[in-house]
Amino acid sequence: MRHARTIMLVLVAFTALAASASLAAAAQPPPPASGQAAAQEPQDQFVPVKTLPAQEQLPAPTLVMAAYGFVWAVLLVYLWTIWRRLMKVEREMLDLSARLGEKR
Amino acid sequence: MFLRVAWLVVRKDLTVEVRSREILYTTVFFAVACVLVFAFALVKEGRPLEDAAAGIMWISVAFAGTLALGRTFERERHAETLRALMLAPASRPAIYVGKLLGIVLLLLIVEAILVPLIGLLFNAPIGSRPLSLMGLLVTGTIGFSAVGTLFAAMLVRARSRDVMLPILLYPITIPVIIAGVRGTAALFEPVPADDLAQMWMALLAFFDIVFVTLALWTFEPLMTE
Amino acid sequence: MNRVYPVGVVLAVLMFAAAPYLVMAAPDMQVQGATPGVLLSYKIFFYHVPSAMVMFLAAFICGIASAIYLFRARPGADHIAAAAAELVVLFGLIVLVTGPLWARKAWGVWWQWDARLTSTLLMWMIFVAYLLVRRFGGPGAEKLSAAMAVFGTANVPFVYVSVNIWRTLHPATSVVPTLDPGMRPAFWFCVVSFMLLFGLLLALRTRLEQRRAHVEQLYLLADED
Repeated sequence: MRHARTIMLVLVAFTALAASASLAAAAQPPPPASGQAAAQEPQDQFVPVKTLPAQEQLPAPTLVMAAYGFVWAVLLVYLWTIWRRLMKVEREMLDLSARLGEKR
Repeated sequence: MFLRVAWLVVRKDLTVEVRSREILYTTVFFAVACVLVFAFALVKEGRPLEDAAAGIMWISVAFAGTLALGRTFERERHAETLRALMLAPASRPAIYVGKLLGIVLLLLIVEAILVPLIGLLFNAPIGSRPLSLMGLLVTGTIGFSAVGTLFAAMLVRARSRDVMLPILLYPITIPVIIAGVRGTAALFEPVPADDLAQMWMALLAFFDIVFVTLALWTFEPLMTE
Repeated sequence: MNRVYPVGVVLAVLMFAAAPYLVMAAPDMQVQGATPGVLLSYKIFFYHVPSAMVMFLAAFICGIASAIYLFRARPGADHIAAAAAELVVLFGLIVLVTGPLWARKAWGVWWQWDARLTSTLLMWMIFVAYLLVRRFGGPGAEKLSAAMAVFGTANVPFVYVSVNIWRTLHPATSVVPTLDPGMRPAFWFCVVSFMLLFGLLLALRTRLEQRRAHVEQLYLLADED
């Protein structure tokens, strides 16, 4: 039963902090474009595709919030499934010990 | 002793198959049907998409191989011969090798029929590098069958075994498909890229060695209760 | 063990709560000519990469545990393997969703068939297949899934090499950028948070698996009479 309480604690804490943290982070304005002249030479790595007009139609903050939100949601759902299964297993163990105890 | 057992298993399978030829005919026909279906999907205005021939060939072999594996072990399960094989005082890996050789033989026959058909339907230059093409087909077939035989054998007692085999087999054999298709496509080019094809063949050979070894190791623990 | 859990949980929760602030405070990527949207989308990197690290760690653990279970028949190893496989699927899902969300902004496309993405997707599918076999394979499914994990983990280098060669013939640009020193604290903080979370989840899930196996044994005992 100690584990059940642990998981409850995790769930509640996560929910509360996730909500507040994500809200706070999203409320910050997007950082200004840092076009510093002292930037390194152009990287051959990420090549931002400037020419795609479709790109600008999906605003970055939406994507970022969707990404972080997804991570939180998935973790919470998984914890909830573990909690449910743990409850079920504990119930079955109690049942079975009772049954076995009767037979002896 | 090991080879003798393997040979006995192969001979048993061949004898059973020669009598009815059921798996052979159905597998060949299924492969041909696959080729046709893909041809309709991938031929535009009478001309196949680039590298379609190579892709279609390997996909058909993969699908037909999956079916053949399922049927072969279903036959064993039905007649309870697999349990008899396991009870026999023969080393398990030898039994595995015997089954593997049987499947490889079957698939090679299917490929022997499929390759000329593809050459015909897609104007693919199958005769330009026959030895390399055969090398690719043999190494690729061995790789696919090595994993397939192991999984099909271990799934014999499982539930939903028909759909489980592709689910398990296809992700693991993706490197075989990639190497087979790219190697064959390299050979089908107007100027065949020999070094590329050889590189893919080397990758396939390495895959074969690693996975046959792995299968030999794991066959025993997997088949015991 | 029971005392470690609450401490670990509180720590993980605090770290995760602090993470977004650190992430937003980190300096931006230095990319010439990038729009503010692209720069903001890089922040996804701080959750995406640690998740990928955890995913591969979990896959490694599952592979080793499965091998131990197959060859040494230790049931404890199977419990760890099952737990680790679920975590591979979980964190893999995170990687495969946050990646395209980031890529849409940074590269303009949702997906690219390069070596890293493809092999990650494939590894994820292999472990989804692991969970499917465990769930629907019927009796003896633990061994089947263990074989799947062992083969899948052994397959990773082959997939990476073959997809790499396949793709470099048609070059594509896709690399995780080298890390600006200003970002390192936020990044490593996130890595530690995720690793801590992973450790907790693995321990919890393994315990659950142990209990489930125990219950099954109890059922058998109860039915015997």
